[in-house]
Amino acid sequence: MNDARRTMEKLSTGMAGFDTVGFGGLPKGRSTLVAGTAGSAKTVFAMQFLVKGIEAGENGVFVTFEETPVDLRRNMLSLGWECARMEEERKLAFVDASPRPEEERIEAGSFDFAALVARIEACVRRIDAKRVVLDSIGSMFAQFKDPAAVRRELYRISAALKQMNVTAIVTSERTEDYGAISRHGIEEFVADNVVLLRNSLEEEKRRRTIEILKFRGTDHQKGEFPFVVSNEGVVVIPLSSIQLRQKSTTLRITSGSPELDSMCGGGFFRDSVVLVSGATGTGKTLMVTAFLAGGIAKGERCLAFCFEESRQQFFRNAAGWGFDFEQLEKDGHLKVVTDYPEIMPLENHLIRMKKIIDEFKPNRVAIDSLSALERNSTTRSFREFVISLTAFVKDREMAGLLTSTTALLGGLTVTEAHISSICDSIILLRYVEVYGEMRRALTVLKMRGSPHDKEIREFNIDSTGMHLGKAFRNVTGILAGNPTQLAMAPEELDRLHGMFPHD
Amino acid sequence: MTAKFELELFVVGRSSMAQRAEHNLRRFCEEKLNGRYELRITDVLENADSAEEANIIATPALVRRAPLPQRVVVGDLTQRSALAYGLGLEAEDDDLEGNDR
Repeated sequence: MNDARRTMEKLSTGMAGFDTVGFGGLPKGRSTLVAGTAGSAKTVFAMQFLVKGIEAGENGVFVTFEETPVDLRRNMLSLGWECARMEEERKLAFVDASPRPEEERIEAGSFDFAALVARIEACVRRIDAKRVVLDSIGSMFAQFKDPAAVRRELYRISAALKQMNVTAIVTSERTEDYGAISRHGIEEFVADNVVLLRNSLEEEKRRRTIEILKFRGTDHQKGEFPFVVSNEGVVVIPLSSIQLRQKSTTLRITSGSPELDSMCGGGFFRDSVVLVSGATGTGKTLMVTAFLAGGIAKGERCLAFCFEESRQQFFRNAAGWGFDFEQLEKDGHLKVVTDYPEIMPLENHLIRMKKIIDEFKPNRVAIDSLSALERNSTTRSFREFVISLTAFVKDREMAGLLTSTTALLGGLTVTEAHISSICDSIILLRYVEVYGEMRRALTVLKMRGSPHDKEIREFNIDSTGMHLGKAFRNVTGILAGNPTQLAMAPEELDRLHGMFPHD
Repeated sequence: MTAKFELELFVVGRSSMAQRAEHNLRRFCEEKLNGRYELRITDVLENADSAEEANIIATPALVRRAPLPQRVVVGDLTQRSALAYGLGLEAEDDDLEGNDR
């Protein structure tokens, strides 16, 4: 039994991310029930299964119980899937079992679905299909009166599919995202494998997830994984499969500021992700600008995603500090992508950003700011986004700089609580009130794998960019957003300081 | 009524259900249609394309091609009143069960 488990063959579906979650794909030669509520992308998922099969040389039969083939051909065109062409090439075939509204159907005695089975078999034989889709079988319960008979007949189809030695997806609708597997209790008929598609409402936002509930006799990843329906179909984001397999490097790169480099013990690590946290106006965008300019000065390619400012604003700021980003972008050293976070769900942003990164192949990536993206997502989606993106950045051996906007006087934001453990280094920017004057402070809170300066240093911005000054020695509570002057003699401070030597 | 009935009975193989449906249909037609009908029997196993065309899912299935509109009666045709209704004839007095449409 155990040996059989291990040798159960999987069929690579060719669907991005799904094969990872399914440890190789769907159980080969079996039927899998794909259940989901209305609008959970069951049909797209099913059709994609066939299209990807056809791309890999495995023909497919689509048995439709709901939409007509005419509607399906038209709907799938928007995803770039030309059903008509694939049908002409005898790679795809439809079996039309959709209801015909103009035709009245009367039941007069017992019946079976042998005709449907015969039609499916004929189609499978005609184009030598290896994959079959039945979408969606719940509709049969509306077409025929006796649910027990329909259930019995669906079981017949299932048995027949097994005989045909095809891998099948059978879709079925659910009434709710968390409840009975399917509306008519048909899971028994393909009980071997069940996949759930969800499109639930969380914090007033739609969140799509996929879960493999069971694969009989073989393993798969557990739990829900986010997915998006992009212009390429369903893209699953297999979070937990992201392994910490990145090779760590001791190679240092410049932050764009020699003073900050020395605070960090010689610069950032090449494949690390740095979080810069601070209130508005503390210099986060300047840090991003310096990070990009510093990279370009060393001949690196840099990519920036700006979600808070327009391109013009971003370029104008950079020009104010003496960097001609417009020219650098024209020369191909830099790419700046600006977007409103609200234009699409976070998952789609992720897919798009990965795509841009893979196209531009930068050495450095900056995101300004994560907080803007967080506005547009649920806590869970956001955390998944950051994990997935940072893993991706490291996997490509790039350096990443992320910014996060805090309250005016500091403190920990939700963003940071969720992502601080994911980032390799954290730099805090804070306002400090010193004798009735607002000053800026910078400290390196965390620098994974390296000693660093633990002082809270004054941070100045002028027309040439950022400058780090002396440490604030007689102020405490800066990081908590509650700076307090210390009335202590400088000698006493020096003595205290000496008691806790830097590492 | 003088309209001629064009009927096509779809079956799969020579199962007992298929034979029962054909037997019931022929007897019904002889009794009720007085020869005003044409009947064709189509085996889906031999002619899947025509089943595809007629969108046959369940068998036995009787398709009334004429008079229009086209109608389909599914089952082994043991329920005579449902069959009569399906063919557009008056329901029989001697069989009222199973006809709730």
